[in-house]
Amino acid sequence: MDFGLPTDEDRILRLVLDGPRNRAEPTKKLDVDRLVGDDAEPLLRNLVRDEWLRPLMGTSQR
Amino acid sequence: MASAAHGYIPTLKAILTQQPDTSRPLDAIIEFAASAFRRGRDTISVAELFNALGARGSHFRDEDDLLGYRLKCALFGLEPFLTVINAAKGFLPSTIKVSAKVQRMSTLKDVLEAQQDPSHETPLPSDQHQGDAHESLRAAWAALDLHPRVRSAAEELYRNGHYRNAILDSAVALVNLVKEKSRRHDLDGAALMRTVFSRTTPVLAFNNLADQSDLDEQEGLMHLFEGAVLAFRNPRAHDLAPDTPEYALECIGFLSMLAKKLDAAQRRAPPTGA
Repeated sequence: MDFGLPTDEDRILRLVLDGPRNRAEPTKKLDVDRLVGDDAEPLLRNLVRDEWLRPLMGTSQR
Repeated sequence: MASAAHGYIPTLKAILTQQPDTSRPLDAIIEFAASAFRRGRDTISVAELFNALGARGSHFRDEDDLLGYRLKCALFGLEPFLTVINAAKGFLPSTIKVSAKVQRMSTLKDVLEAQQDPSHETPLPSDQHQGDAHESLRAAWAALDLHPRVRSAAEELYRNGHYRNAILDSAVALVNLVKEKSRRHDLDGAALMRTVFSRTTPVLAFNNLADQSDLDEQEGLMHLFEGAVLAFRNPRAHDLAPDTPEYALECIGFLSMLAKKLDAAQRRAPPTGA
């Protein structure tokens, strides 16, 4: 499946879809930083802006 | 801000792009939610949704596997028709609020189309009807002349939509009332009820036990008290399956009736030689 994303963003999205370390759970930024070998915040911001990823904030969504 | 996030999950768009057939279990979820709403429910647990998926023969197996995880993530993308109102266990959804507008939807496609249509903000005529149904339940709850201990145990839980817990706590309140009035704190559950309301040597009697009819009534009420523990309290102490507001209303009314019968029961003198 081609998401039409740049390489690093594509890798991040696939990581989040499959869960970190093959565990079905939200992916922490630290795991994404490790994947790309750098601070992934700009890439994450792009993916959130383009509605590929959703950040989980706080202890409750509502 | 991305840096403040506890984690990231895929959006509905990402999930459907990677695996388009995820739409099938989502169709089933929407159909289930619409059906639940038509039956007077405006909140449903995610565990209940997933149980329904399993019961419908979906290829879905486990809410903690990858598909279950993606479905939970996808639920965030169904707003405002299905809205996550409680998130637990790794910030994933545990409870969903169902909008009245879902009742005329049956597939994911319906939801996605409605999300694109600004007119979905316009109230449906049936919203008022459904609102009336919920209002009727609330009015029925408020009008019930419940035993004060049962009312105290269940009031907040029922009003906040925790119907299973409302039944459970009402049943626990009844058991505690029986212990207090009989002074048999050494017993619990069915054994407590059988001992305290025994047909022939009860601690508490509902009548004079003067004839066959009295004895039959005593035994019948003993079975109802025992049944309240076995059928209402115990299953909810061991299982998280949710209850509907209508069923909770009926159960709690029944438990209240038993509490009132208990209030009217008389202590019996211990048998001679005891």
